[in-house]
Amino acid sequence: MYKHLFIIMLLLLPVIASGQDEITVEMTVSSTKISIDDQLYLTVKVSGSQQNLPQPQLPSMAMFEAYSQGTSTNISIVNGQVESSLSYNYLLIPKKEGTFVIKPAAVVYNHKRYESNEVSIQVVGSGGTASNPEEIEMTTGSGQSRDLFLIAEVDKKKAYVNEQITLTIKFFHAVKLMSQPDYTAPQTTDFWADLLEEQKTYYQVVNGRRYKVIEINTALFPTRSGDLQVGSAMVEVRVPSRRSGRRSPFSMFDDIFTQGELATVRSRSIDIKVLPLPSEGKPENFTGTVGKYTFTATPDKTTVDVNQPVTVTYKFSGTGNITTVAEPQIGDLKDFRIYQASSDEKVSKVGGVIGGTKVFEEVYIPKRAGQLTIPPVEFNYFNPATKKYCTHTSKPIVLTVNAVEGEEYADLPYRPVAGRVVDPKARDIRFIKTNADDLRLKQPLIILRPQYFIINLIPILILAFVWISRRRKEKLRADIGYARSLQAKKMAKKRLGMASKLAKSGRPAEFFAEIRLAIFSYVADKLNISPHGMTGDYLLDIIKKSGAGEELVERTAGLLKNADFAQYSSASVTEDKIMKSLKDAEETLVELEGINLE
Amino acid sequence: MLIVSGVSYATEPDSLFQQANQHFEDKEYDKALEIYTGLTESGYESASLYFNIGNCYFKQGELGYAILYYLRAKRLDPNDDDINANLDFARQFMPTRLEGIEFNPVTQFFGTITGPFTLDLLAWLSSIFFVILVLFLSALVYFQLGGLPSKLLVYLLLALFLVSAGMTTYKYRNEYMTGKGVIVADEARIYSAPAADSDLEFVGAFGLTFEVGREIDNYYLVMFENKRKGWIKKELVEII
Repeated sequence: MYKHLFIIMLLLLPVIASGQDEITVEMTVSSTKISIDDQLYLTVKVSGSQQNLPQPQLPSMAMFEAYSQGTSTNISIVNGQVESSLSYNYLLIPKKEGTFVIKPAAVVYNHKRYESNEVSIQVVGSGGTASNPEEIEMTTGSGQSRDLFLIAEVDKKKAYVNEQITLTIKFFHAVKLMSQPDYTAPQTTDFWADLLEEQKTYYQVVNGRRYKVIEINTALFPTRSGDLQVGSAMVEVRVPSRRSGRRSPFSMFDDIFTQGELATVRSRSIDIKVLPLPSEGKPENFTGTVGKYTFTATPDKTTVDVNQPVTVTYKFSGTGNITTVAEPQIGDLKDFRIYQASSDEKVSKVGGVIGGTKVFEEVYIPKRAGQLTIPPVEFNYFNPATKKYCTHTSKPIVLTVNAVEGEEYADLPYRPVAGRVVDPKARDIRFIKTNADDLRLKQPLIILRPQYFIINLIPILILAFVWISRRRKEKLRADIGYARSLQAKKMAKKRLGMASKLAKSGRPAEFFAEIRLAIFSYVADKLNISPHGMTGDYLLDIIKKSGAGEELVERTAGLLKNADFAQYSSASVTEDKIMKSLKDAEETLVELEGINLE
Repeated sequence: MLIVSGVSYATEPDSLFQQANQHFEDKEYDKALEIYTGLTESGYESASLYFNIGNCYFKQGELGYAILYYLRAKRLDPNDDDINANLDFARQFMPTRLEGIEFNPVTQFFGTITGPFTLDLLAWLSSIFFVILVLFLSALVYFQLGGLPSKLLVYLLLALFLVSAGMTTYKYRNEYMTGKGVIVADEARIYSAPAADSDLEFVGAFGLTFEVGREIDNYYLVMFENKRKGWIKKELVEII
C-alpha cells in the first residue's frame, strides 16, 4: 500500500513542481531621457516555464501616446527545462515635458498577481540637449537611433477663423530608405486643408549631420474658433537593420537580400488658438470672407436694346480662402430681370499663400427703355493683418436702354435655379392664343369610336362581296350542272308563267304540255340530266328515292296523268281543271324545292 | 350652360374664351383661369385652351400645373411652336433633373417619327390607306387584274398601311394606354411603399413626368424616365 502511494507521489512531482514555477514580469524602455519631439519603445516581458503565458495589464500612461508594435515570443529548452518569454512592444510619444513614472505592469496567474518594476522617464523640451539628433542617437539605446525624425511646424499658433495657417511637415533622414516612405497626414478635423505645392526635397545639416529632408506644406483654414489641434503626422519606412553589431564580409549583399526593419516616426501634435472674428465693426451683410481682396464690376456693354442681355462681371481677386467668397448680393430690381450666367474660380498658391480670382457673371435684362442704373454692389471681408473689416463697393453702372417696338417686359414668377442658365433670348412665355376655332367638346379617341370601326369594316365587306360573287360567277361558268341546278326553279317558274298565259288564251293542250315540261325540266336541271326521254314513272321513281312524301308523289303523278290525258282529249278539259292543274303545278314545284333531289 | 363665379352665362364657349383672353390681357390671371377651367369642366378642350390655362398658371407661379397643361396642349397639337416654346421655357425652372436617363434607340426612333403627329391624324392616315388598299384589292378581284403595276401598287399601299398602323399603335400604347403624369407640387417625396413611414427613395419636384403603374389607396406606383420607381401621393401629381 505505502509502496503504491510513493510511486504516485513520484509521478505527480513534476506537476507539483511546475505549478510552483514563478512568473517574472519585466518592463524596459529604450531610453529614460528623451526630447519632447522624440519617441521611445517600451517592452513588457513576461517569462516563465508555462507555455501559455498570460497577457500583462498595462499601467496608465496618460502623458504618452501609446501604439502597439506587436509581440515577440522566445522559447528555450535547456536540460529538458522549458523556459518561455513573451514580449509586448509599445511605441510611446510624449505629450508634454517633465519626469513621469510608469507604474508596474501586472500579470495575474493562478489567482496570484505578479508585478514588474516601474520606470521613470524624463521628457525634456525640444530646445534642450536631447533635441540634438546626435545626442538622441546616443540615448536611444535599443538600436533605434536618430537616423530619421519628423517635425511639424506652423507659421502661427494664433489665428482668426478662416485665416490661413501654413503647416510644414519635414521628414529628416540620414540613412538609406529601403522602401517608399508611407506618409499619414495629420488629422485636421476643424480645418479646411489644401496642399500648397508638390513636396520639396533638399539637404540640411543638423548638428553636424547631413540629413535629406522631404518637406510638405499645407494651408489650413480654421472652420471654427476655439482651442484646436493639428494631430501628429506619421511616416513608416523600412531602414537597414542595425541589430547585428558586426558586419559580415558578405554584408554588402544584405541591402539586396533583406527588407530591413520597419521604422515609424511621428511628429508632435500642435495646439492652435483660433480667435472668432471680432463683432465690433462687423457689416450686416458680412458672409465670412477672410483675407485681402480687390473687387470690380464690369459690364460687357453700356448701350443695349430693351430685353437684350447685359453681362456684368463681378471679379474678386486677392489672398485668402477664395472658395468661400460668396455670390454678390443683388436684390430684385424693378427694371431688370437678373440671372446668374456662370461662376468661375481660379485658385493660386504663389509663395505658399492661397489666393486667386473668383468671377461671377450676372445677366441683367432691362425691362424698359431709358437711362437705367445697375446699383453698386457691396463686398465685405475681414483682413486679419489689420484686424479690421473692409468694405469695397462697385461703381454704379449706367445703361442706355433703347426702346424696340413691340417688345414688352415680362414679370416672371420664378428665378432660375442656382447654377442653371436660362436662355436670355427667351424673354417670357409666349402670349395666349386668342383663336377659339379648335374649341370643341371632348370626345373619345377616334380609334375608340364605333364610326371608325364601321368605316374600316365597310371596305372589308365590299371585298368579301366582290370575292364571293366572283367565285360564284366562276363556278357557274365552269360547272354546268351547278348552273342548271341554280337555274332550275327560275326556268320552271318561267314555264309556269308561260302555261298561265296559254291557259288564258284557251289552248289547253299547249298549257298541259308546258306544265309537263316545267316539272320534267325542273327535275332534269336539278340532276343535270336531259329531260328528253324521261318517262313519268322514272320521274316519280326519282322523287320517291329522294325522300318525297306520298302526297307529293301522288299529286305529281296525278298532275302528269292529267297532262297526258289533256294532250289527247283537250276538248273535255274544263277551265276549272286547268286552273287547278296550274295551282297543283305551282305547289308541286314549291315542294320539290324542299327536297334534295338525287 | 356654364356657371362661373356664381353668375349664369348662357353664352357660347367662344365668347367665354374671348372673355378669359381679355382678363389675361388685363393681367387678371385668376379670373381668366376661372373661365378657362370652367370651359374644361363643361367638357370643352382644345390645344389653345390648355395652352392658355398653362400660361395663367405660369403667371401665377404654379409651374407644375403650367407644365401639366402645356403637356396636355402638346398632346392635341404636337407641332405648335408656341406650346413647345413655353413648355421648354417653364421646364428651365425645374429644380430637379433626373440623372441616368437611358434612351432606347428603338423607342427613341419611334418617338421621333410619331412625335409630330396626333393620334387622331395617325388613325385617319392608317384608315385611309387601309380603305384604299381594300378597295383596290376589290377592284383587282372583280376585274380580274393581276399585272405587275397592280401588284406593285398593292405592295405600296400595304406598306403605307402597315407603317401608319404601326405608328398609330405605338402612339396609342405609349401615350394613352400607359398613363402619364406630372408632379405639380413644389416638392414630392417618393417612397418605397405606399405609406409615409416607409423608406424615402428620393425627393422629386414639380415638372417631373412619370408613367403610372398601379394605385393603392392614396398612392400611385410611378416610374420616372430614368426607370426609378416609387410610390407617390396622388394629391401631389396630376395625370396628363
